[in-house]
Amino acid sequence: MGILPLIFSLFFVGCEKASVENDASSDLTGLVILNNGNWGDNNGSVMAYDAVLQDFTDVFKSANNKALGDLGQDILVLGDDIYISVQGSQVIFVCDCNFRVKKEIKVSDSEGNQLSPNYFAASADKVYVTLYEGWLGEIDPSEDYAVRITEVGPNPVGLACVSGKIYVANSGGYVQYYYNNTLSVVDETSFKEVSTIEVNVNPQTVVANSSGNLLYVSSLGNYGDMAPKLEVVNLSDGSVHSTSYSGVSEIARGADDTLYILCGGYDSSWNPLPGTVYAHNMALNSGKGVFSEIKFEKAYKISADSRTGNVFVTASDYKTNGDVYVLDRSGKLLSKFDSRGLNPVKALFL
Amino acid sequence: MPQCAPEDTLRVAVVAAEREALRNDPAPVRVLTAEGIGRSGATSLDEALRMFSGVSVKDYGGVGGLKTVSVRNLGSQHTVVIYDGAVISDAMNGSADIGRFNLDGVSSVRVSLGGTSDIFQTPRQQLSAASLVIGTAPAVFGKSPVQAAVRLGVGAFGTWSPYLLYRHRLAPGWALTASADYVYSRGNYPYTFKNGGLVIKKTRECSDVSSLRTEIGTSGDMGRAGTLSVKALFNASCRGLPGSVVYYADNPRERLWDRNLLTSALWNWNGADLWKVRTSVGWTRSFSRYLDTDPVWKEPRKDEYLQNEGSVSALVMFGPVKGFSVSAGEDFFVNTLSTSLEDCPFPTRFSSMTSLFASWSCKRLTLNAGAVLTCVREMVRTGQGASPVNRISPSLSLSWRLSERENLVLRASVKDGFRMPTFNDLYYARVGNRSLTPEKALQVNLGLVWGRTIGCWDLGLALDAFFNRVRDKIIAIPTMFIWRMRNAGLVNMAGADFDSRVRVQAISWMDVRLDGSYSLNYAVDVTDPESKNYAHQIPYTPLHCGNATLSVTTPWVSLSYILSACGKRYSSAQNIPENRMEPYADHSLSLFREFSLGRSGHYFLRLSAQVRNLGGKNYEIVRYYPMPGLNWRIEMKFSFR
Repeated sequence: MGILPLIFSLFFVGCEKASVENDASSDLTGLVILNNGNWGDNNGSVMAYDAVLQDFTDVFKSANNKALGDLGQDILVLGDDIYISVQGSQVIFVCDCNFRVKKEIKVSDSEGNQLSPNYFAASADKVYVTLYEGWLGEIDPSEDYAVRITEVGPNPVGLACVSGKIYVANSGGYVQYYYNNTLSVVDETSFKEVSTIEVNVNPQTVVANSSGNLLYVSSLGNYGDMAPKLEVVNLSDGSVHSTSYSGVSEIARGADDTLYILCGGYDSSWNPLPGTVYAHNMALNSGKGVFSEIKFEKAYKISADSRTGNVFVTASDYKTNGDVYVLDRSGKLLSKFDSRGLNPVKALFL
Repeated sequence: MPQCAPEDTLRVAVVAAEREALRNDPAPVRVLTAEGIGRSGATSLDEALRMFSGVSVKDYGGVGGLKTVSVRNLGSQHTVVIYDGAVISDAMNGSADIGRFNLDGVSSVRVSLGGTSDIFQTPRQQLSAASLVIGTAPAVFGKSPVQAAVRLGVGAFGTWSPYLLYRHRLAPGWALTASADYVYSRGNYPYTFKNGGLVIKKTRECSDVSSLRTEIGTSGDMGRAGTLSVKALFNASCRGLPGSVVYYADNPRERLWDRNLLTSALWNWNGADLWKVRTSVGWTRSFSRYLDTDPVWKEPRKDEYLQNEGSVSALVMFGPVKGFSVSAGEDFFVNTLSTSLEDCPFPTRFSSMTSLFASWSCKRLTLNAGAVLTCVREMVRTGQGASPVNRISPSLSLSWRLSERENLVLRASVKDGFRMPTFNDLYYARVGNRSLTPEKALQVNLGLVWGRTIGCWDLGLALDAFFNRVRDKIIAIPTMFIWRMRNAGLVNMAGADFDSRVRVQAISWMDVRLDGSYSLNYAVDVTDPESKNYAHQIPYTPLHCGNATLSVTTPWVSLSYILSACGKRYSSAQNIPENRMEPYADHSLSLFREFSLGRSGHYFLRLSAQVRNLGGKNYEIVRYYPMPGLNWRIEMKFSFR
């Protein structure tokens, strides 16, 4: 009985599937993946596609001869700079286009506590970063990446810059027992919180449409009686409206003012359900239906490249290397590959 | 050929005790006696356990680091820890921290695994895949009605460990024992780590511990009415939790306070060699407080946990005819948990375990068979309690001496045990799953034990091959929103433990022993054929590991050298280079001597010095938790008896 699978497993250990299942027409050159890693394991990584090896390699490690660190959270390209936030390691790396570190930014509050960087958003000339201890940071590339911070709500995560204001989602994930339900509105010039907007509990990601009048906010709820939601904030009057998507876990801004929505959930015996991706017209605030027919098993995160129009869906079981699906703007699968790291959070073409 | 030392009665007794270490019970048992503990130079329980094959200690490093024990990769929740008849339980986490035990006053450390070695064991012990039993010796008084000992240990990284023992003969056969054992360690050991080309040289922070352990008890021989032992143990500790080493950041801010009280009364009775009875009652109260001052929390996070366990146990063995005996046992215990956490349902668990075993032995064959019936019911203050559990766990083991003349024994055992889901598995806020069922562990063992005395050489060999299978393994499964505990794992394990011992006493004043063991462990996750870790070796399981102990005892000074070596293993589920952990070897050397002071023969002084991790490398047992490098300890113990 028990010995049979054991013997079989002995034979199969050596075999491994090809890591990249590629459509011949698609070129992955320039594709970069950020792997979050696992908390406390120092295994965040930036992987770049190597056309010669036809595989992904740790480009940050090979460029700097050191690892990225613990929890690679976000990656942002502004001008010639690549910003990477490493939350557990409490560091922001500013790299050149070859991922060589040109600046290591450590942010601390007035009491000297190191702060943990989360997500980025860029205005025309500044980079904003949420700091998990309850702050928003502003990085000024023209002043040797000087940072100033301002207080926002508890445990801020996603953020968006819209016409002189920064909207910050205060998740409150670490306020014992209670999640937060606000967005902080920070004025760019005064760099102070000027107001707050009430949304569903545990807001995560904030995306503005191109005309800057609507703000899309995804929230995870309290994992109990309050469900996750996708809400729309009308910035002209401050009103908040719910959308009809259920089981919303992640959203991403794509090309042509399209919002991609990853939805999932679990069945009654806690089996995770596969993820579904929907497309939403952000200008008209109207649904465009299911974006891709693929049922994404172990779906984890979604990101999109507004320049190329590609949509990236990642999958993870949190214990083995993840997978990345590359889709074109019509939802067709171009490529699927192993992310060569744990918990791929974001992909982009450089 | 050298002259063999003349036999004397004392030595015969010692040899008899020592042979315990390679026992030929129907299932594997590893034993270390007081003698063996003294000779090894080990001062803490985890050091002693490292010498056992098939037994591994998960160690987060430092004096205060959590240390749990597991057997043949079954997970520490499958090991029950028993101290002087009382179970050291933790229904919340399921595994006991053995770091709190030192070896002063301990007369035996015994680990049983793989099956039923003995039918006179409590049902709780029979059910567990493995048991670690720590025993203390009853006081034996000479002329003086008082015995006392004072010890002071000093070690590297600001470690101080004073110990006091007092024993008093209250009446013939009755003794009062009180002891206090304190450990303080700053734990600020330096470590060197490599992050690519970057060399990190730092000092472990927030790794301090201060721990007090007191024990008071009385035991007495009531003649025909049996023996009675009543004791209370109180532990209090405060420690920093240094966390894993995080690249580019290092600011641990977690602390843990523990207070626990264990009381027990144990009564043993033997009737005319026909009956053997052991009953006990016990109560344990464990309180712990956790503090995290990380500024990511708006308010510092303070959690409090209070657990209670009340237990009664009875065990009877009846041997009506020579070579045949039956035993019946009942363990009934109640566990409660209350926490300051959100949604704590305040669970109460009632467990009943009933065992029935029989043992039959004729000239060369011993056969043990039986089963444990477990019934568990759970009540909660809010919502629905966990599903009831009713299970029968059978066990069968035999040993067969293959030859009349040769001490060569074949043993075989099968045991189908399980572990209950812990309170955390069931009820931890959002993650817990109340519909969990027990995690089952099937163990099969087949072994050969051989021993022989040739002149002044005493040799022993044991080889055990095993197959274990864990079904319905309780693991956390992620969904896009939240993790849930599920019965979703399937792990197959196959391996072998090899033990050897050699003892030479070629000259009367020198005793040399060399014990070696090697374990082969193939343990693969076969849960999901689609998964990237299918058929991969499970985390923290080296394919090869082993240890060797050399001890040389002379009247002037005694020496002990312990080597433990561990092959490559993986820190996570997938066997890829990123998760690979390099092999390590830990060498330690102890020198000690006991002096008799004055002519009265009542005063003794033992001096010992130990150097650990001679290689000096900060190897890791748990990834990113570096172990201390080269470190030392000296100890002075003065005793009166």
